[in-house]
Amino acid sequence: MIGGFAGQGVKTISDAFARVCTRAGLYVFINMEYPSNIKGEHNYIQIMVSEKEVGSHVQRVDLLLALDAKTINLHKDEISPGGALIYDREGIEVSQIDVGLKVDDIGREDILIIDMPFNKIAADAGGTNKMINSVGLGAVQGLLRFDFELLASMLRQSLSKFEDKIIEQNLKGARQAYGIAREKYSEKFSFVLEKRDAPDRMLLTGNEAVAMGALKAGLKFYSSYPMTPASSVLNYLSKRARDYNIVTILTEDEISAAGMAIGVAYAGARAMTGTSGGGFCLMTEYLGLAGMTETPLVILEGQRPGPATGLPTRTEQADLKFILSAHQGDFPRIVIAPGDPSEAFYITFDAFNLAEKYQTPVIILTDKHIAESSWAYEPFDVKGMEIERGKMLGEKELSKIKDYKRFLVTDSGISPRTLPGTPGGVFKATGNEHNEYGLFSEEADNRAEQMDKRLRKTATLDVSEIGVKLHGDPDADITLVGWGSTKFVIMDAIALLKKDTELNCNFLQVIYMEPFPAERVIKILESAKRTMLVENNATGQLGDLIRQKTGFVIKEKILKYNGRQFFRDELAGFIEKRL
Amino acid sequence: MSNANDKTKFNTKARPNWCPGCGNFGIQSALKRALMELNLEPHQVVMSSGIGCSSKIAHWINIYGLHGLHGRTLPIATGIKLANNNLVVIAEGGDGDGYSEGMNHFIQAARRNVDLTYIVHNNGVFSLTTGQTSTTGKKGFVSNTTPFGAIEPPFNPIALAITAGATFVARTFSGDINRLSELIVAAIKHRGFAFIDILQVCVSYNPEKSYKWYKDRVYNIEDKGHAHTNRSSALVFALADNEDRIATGIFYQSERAPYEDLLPQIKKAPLVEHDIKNVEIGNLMAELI
Repeated sequence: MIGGFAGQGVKTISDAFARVCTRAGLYVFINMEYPSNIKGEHNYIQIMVSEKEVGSHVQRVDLLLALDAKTINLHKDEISPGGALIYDREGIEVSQIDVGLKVDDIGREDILIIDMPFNKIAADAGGTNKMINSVGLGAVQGLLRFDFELLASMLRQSLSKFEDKIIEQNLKGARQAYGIAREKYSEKFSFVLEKRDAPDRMLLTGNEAVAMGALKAGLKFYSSYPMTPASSVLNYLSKRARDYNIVTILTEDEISAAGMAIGVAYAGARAMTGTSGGGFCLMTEYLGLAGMTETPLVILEGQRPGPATGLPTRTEQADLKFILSAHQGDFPRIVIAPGDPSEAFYITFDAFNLAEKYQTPVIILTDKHIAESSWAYEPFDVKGMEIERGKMLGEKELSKIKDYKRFLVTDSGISPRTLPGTPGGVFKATGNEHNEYGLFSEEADNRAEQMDKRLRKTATLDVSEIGVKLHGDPDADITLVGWGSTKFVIMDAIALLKKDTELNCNFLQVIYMEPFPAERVIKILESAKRTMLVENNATGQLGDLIRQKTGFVIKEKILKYNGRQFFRDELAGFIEKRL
Repeated sequence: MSNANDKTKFNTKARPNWCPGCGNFGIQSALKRALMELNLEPHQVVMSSGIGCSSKIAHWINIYGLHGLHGRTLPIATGIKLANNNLVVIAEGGDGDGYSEGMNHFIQAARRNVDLTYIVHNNGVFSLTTGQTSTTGKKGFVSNTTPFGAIEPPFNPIALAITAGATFVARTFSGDINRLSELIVAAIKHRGFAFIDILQVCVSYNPEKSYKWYKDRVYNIEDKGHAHTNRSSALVFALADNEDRIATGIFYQSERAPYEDLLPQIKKAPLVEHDIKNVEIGNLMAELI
């Protein structure tokens, strides 16, 4: 764990250390805990490193790098026996909001306390306290007896935009801290990291996965208003806008973001907008307009604790009900909830194909935990990822049609569309009920017919395979039921329980929320020996959805809604307690 | 496919259902005339309209269109233009749309200067919802929501457009079809955000402001020696309006590169023409290693 006050460089250090690990062939999982603040408040990052795949975190800390006094006071008791604390005893920093704060009596005889004079080392190397990051990294690297050169090459790369003198100072400071940690302390510390032979792995967040999936899908336009945890998608795509010839725009509000995306999609380019729950509230009117005008629209909703402003920088999965029912009236929508960045990548790609095939809005539902945590993956396999644009008519086909009807009533409900600029394809899209031509119409029979037409569109979308995953032994003692970012922690808790108690659990992961894979879900639940719902919300929203769609009631619920994700040992403990 | 000279090419089979004598008929004529004069074809023009009597105009002109949400014409129009900047894009709606629900989008669109034409039918009332006073209704106007007379004074859209940075600001009234048609042609030709406020009668709910009422009060600022490159003068004229003297004409026009001209991404071709079949993302993944 690395902790400090906002502005000290906790994230910089974490990212650098994590990359050193992944480049050394190790698996990494990073969880960030930070408040809604720019400078001064406490934030900390937990990094799990292992030679095996790692998807969730544990409640203990093996190594705490404390950049300020508050970090020590808040987290010293989380350090496991035999763990280590690295801090600058003489020069420990204190945030401007904690003036006068002193380091508590650490009172832990069972941990290794390492006094690392960051500021002095930085000064000795000729640098300023901006170099503390590198010094801290050197200390951690040394304590873990991890090859220094792995860190050195990382630092050279990340500091490459600075002049050589600065780079050398940083390396000098890092090397000195490394030396102290390695020579004086590492023998007393039981954890060692070493390079392994492994394929290249990316260190990636859910937001990066969504952005890449969108670009791969031929995204041409992204409009957004900043809202945590979705904001970084706009940053990522804006930076690459010229390389990929896409247009990104920070709009005046979320209403405009959704509106522009619809305009783009209506005109025939692939468009997406992204926000969190509060922003989605503002988009709900346009959501239904997309449904009524049968315009493809992809929306990213990154959940966070609500209601209202809630906890802007924490995690929760409590918008499910809202997303499924937002807007007045009935119209088809597709809602997909990936469980990790890899799923997010492929699902985002699929979302664009689905939006255009079914000419309806598709919502990708993530949360802060997926959006901003990092995991290690081999580069995604992009073979066979085909763009499918649905039924569109060009000038040639239209010349054979005397009387083009944009909203032609068909068996599938899907009507071939035309794009503005196409001769012979003129039509109106309207939010009013309309006839087959798109002219607004109040005719009773027409209304029922158009409603039926729209609603049967997604009936042909078969989600029985893609909508659900059953992880583990179908014949397990307990079936845990969940969705979204609890995926890895549930799987890790299952593994822990198997190891420690021989309890055999499996995990029913729901991925498609709408259309809902009812048949397969009910089949799994009815044959389960015992079921438990695991969710990050206060009311068990997936449980309610399952009941609504299948009649099945999951009586036992493990719900965590304090703004943080489960720890694997914590979840395993909750499950065990129920036995 | 229509014959380029076919004078009926912008006509639709459907007939408008506006009240007899509605100012919208004049605006509809002027718009069709303008499109004809510009030698445009129906498939080259797209309208994004709002909600209200005026917004239904989208259904009664033979062009592409999205008749959308109240006050939300401009974001959609902006999206359409950014997706395909070869299209002629018109955003159209009433004063409820433009000067109430959609006020923020109006200000931002002026600032953003995407090349589109924004036409607002300004009759001082919400007609389709049966006669509430709007933000451009006069102070003291008695309506079913203001039985004791409206408290706020009317809002000044011309002044706002000028200060928000709009590069083409004009006004006329729906009775002067020739002038209106000329202004629409000028607005569509203008490179950037072109705004036309069209004063009109609502025979059902604001009959006082009739064709004659406007004719007696409007004057052309170009006749007063106003040069439409002079922004301060434009503002002076705009702010001088009162119930008895209403300035019309082109208040302001300037050259400022349209937003989309500053996007190298669409220099070679509009977004809708880009090939999206084999997007390469290997380099993006490599960045994360």
